Amino acid sequence: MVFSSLLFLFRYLPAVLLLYFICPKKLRNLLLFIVSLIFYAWGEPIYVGIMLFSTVVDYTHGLLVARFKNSGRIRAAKCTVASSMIINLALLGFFKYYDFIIGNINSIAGLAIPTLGLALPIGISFYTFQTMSYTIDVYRGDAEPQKNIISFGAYVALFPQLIAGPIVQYKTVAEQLNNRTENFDKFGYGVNRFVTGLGKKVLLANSAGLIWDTVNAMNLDSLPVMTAWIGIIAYTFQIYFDFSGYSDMAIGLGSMLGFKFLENFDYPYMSKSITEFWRRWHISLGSWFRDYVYIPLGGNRKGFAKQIRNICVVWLLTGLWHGANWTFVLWGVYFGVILIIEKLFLLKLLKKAPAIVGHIYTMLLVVVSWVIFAIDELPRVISYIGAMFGSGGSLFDQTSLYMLTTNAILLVILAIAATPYPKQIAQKLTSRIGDKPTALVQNMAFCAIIFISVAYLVDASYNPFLYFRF
Amino acid sequence: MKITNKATTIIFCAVIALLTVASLFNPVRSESEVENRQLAQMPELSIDALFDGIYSAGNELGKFTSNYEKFVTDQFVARDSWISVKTSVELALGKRDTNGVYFADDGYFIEQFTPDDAIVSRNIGFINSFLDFARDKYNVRVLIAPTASLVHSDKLPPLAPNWNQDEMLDNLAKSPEFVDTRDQLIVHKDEYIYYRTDHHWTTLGAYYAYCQLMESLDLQPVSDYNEVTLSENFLGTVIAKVGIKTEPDTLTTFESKSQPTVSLDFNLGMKTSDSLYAPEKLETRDKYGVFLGGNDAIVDIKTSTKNGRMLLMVKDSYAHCMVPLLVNNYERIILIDLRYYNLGVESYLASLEADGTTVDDVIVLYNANSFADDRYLLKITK
Repeated sequence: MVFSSLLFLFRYLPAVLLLYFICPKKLRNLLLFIVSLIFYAWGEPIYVGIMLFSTVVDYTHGLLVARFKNSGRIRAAKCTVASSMIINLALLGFFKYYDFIIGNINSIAGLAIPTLGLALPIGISFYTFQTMSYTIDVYRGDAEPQKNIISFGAYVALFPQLIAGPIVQYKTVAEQLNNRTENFDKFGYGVNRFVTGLGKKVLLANSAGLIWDTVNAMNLDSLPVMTAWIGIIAYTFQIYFDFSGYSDMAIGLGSMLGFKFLENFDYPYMSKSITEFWRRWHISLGSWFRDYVYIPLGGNRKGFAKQIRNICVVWLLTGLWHGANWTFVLWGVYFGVILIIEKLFLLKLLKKAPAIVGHIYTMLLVVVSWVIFAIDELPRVISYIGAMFGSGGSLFDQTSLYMLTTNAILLVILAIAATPYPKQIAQKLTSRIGDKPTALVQNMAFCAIIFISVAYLVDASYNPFLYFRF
Repeated sequence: MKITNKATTIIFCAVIALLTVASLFNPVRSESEVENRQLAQMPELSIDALFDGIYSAGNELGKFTSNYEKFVTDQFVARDSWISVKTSVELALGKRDTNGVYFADDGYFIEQFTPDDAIVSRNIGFINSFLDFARDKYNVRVLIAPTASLVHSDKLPPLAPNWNQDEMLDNLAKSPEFVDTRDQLIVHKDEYIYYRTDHHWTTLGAYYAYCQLMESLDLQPVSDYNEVTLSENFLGTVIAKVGIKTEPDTLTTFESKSQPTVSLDFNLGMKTSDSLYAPEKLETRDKYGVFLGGNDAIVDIKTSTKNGRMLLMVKDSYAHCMVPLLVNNYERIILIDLRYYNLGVESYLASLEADGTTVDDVIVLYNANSFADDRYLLKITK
């Protein structure tokens, strides 16, 4: 099930909210656990088993780690952490990478080992990373072990962030699992975030996605420069509004239920360098790799050569995390290389240059990176980048002009919505006209977004979700 | 901000609750007139359907969960109005097409169409080869009718990419047997010659082409006719792709003051009829099917026009609304639709000849889009 569907909005959500708020506080985690499993089972009933397995395994590992640590058996505690990581990575590896690895072995060694063609359990990349963070946090003493398996199950399966993150590290919600309050302030804020996210996903990302799909289906050998840029710029907006919209909805739903999740996006397209971009894009993934890979490897504290190695490892893994395909590896390496170059000297130069230089430099590299990300065959990636720089043989044709004129307003809205300016203007307005009129305007805006989103969802011949395959 | 959050909470819950209740108690419809399709129904719940229903992309059977989601979406309260809202928003944002259909001026909906050039030139080749075979034996005429996207090209949105039919038609017009109706239809383009919501020409459009066709064969076209209204509520195939409410078209037929009686034989004796119309089709979504009841492989029409003249017509559905006029000029008409007819046209003509049946005229009638896209024309040369 996805949030941006009539099924979620007008069947699942009202039922869950009703049950949750009439349920006694003590039983709310149990309720959350059950409804989250239903949410998950809706797409893949069989794979609920893997999630329950993960829950039980990590719950026991967490308890064991704590017991070994308290009794001073550090070695045993370490082994337990290792065991938990191996199990989680084996699950992820089997479902996500088995066919990819076998495919590569086959093509290198000329073998014909059969691939499995298993459907990827939804959200497995997200929840295995979450459960790994739990045992590590317990080992490090950053979190107490969770004694209640129901509360732990609620953490693993928590439906708001189950499918597409943010990747909630255990230590950031440990306290909230046992002790949280729900109130109008949190709920109202949750509505704010949820409705914003819904609009981003349904109205902005899907509309941008239609442009990209049209261009991506065209013949790349004769693609005019203008069409190629319109297409990939549309994708640049699609992926941002799709993913950040989903994170907004997750944070919003969490807030309605009394949780506070950390932010996942911070206007990434406002960045002035790629280093900054990755501090603003998919923040929870970046933090995860920083806390559990980069820093344990020594980070930047063990000399420059080791730091470069660590960056390489993190970016290779980041690429692979996004998908079992060489184009994703390339995508990770692409960013790894740029980040190293920035560390070496570019960042200093960019700081001295006017801001506009940094903006253009960053967006150019980001847009090109999305070509690698969006297209999963390398030859097509190369053709597309070629077309962006003129290999199609023409600057524009009638189709380019038609696409530009009929989508001009949409593209302007997308560009404005990707900046913090609308929010800043709204805040200025609040201080000028006061709280009550602002509340009125804001609530009317929310109703309008829900209303138009429903209209778009009713006619939903097109509602893909990009991060679903992770 | 305390008051704001409370108000927001209440309004949000109220909106969600209201739409939930409304959609739960919305009566289930079996089909959508506006979208011209069946709507999903409540799927049956069973252990099988939940766990191992046939689950693969594009499989209509699907499993319970995905079928239930389709049901909720298809049966959502006031579905048609929501779709209109979406279309209005898109139009306001400058969008001029949806689902492969242009929003043209004056309420016209015109399909986007781009043919495969290889198929176009192959089909022109088949026509030329058929002409070489048939021109000495019969009066052959080829009428490839332009569609609304050529005749009404000035109604298309600015800069809209549009396939240039002229190139293909110019190429066909090199044969003396080609009846070029473009000028005639463009002269009359301010009249109601194409449906606004369907891909066919109107009977009036077909009438202008009919006159030109008959004159080219030295036959007298019907000039004194009655226009009979069949339906004032015709929503065609093009608007169905858009799925919004719009002013329906009017479907009419032309009959001469002394319209001959007819007897029809469908698909070599599978069905007979004594009417060119299938009025029951007017109660369905396929209202254009009122002419001849839709598409059949071969229809043999005998008429009370006792002039001994016989026509064989290889055609698509553009021909159907012209048949009530043609029966005034022929004693017998055989219609062949190559999409459903599995033998060759040349061999069929030869077998008629062997039976002692004399075919006088052979007409090939398609619209430009279906001709450019046709995968069965090879059969005309067999």
